[in-house]
Amino acid sequence: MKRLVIACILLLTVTAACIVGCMTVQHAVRDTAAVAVSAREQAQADDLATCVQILQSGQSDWTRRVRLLGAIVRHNELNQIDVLYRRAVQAGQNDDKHELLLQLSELDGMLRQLADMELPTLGNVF
Amino acid sequence: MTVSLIRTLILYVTVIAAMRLMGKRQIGELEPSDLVITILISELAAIPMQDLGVPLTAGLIPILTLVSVEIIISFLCLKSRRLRRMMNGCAAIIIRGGKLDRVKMAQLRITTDEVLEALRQNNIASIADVKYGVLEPNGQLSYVLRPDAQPVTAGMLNLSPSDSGVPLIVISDGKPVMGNLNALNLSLSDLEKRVKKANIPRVSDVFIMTLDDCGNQFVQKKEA
Repeated sequence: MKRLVIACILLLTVTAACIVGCMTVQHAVRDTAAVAVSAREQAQADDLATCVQILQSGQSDWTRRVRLLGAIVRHNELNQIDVLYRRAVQAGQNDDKHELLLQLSELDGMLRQLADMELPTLGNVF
Repeated sequence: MTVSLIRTLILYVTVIAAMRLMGKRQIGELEPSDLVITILISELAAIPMQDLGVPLTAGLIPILTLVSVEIIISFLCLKSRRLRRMMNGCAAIIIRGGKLDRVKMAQLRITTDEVLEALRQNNIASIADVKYGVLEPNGQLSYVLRPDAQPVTAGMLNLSPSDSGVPLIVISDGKPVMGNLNALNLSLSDLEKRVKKANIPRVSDVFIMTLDDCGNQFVQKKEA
């Protein structure tokens, strides 16, 4: 009976951990996507300096979140997002608006993929 | 490399704890569901050990889920005969009255070579000596011998051998095992008397000593 109780508690804990993990990823992605959208608006308005500031602030926030996300998501997915951030910042610092927008759209795509991967949808399960 | 080392240690502890939690049945003869779980757990533990890009939780969560589900299912199998049959199958009689049941063997895809091999491993020379041969769900063959082929027992010869119990280790590598001594209602001084009676000066000179509740003991001194 003791084992059964432990098993039930374990299963509930694991389920709760998965739900929390999924929510953590969704929140991180939502916040990061908001940064990317805000940066894109500034870039489209030709204010690359503000765009770079927003991206740098977003990148440090992302770096902070990666510590926890690293326990949930594959590390190479997180590394790719970090690389895209750096590329976007560099493009902004180089005043290359076209490249900056390209990197931001790629970042947006990666974030969507990351969010979708963690959701327990039929497509992901099967 | 350090990450790999730490992960391996964590996963090792987790797998050992998982096997302990599932209980002794996992370590003994494996039912089909037990075999599946054991293989799956070992494969799951290997993934984050080898691939450092995979988060540790990608191994831990499936392992813990499997362990929990296995325990819950095995508890339900205790309560439900139908579920038990569904999960583990049922035993099948393949030898009756010294003859092989061809139909049953064909259903189970068992060959005569496999049957003879199993009988030889149980020191049975002839199928004719077996009254019933049962293929258990775990793949083992158990048997009931014909009366005239059974080994002789003391009861058949009207003998009364001395009683024996389960031997418990009371001294291990020179140290008394208090739990087992208490189970046998013996004190340390009783133990010391027995050791002296066996011509060994001290308890610390004993390599191993076993004792059962019928008074049968085995003592081995430490080599010099």
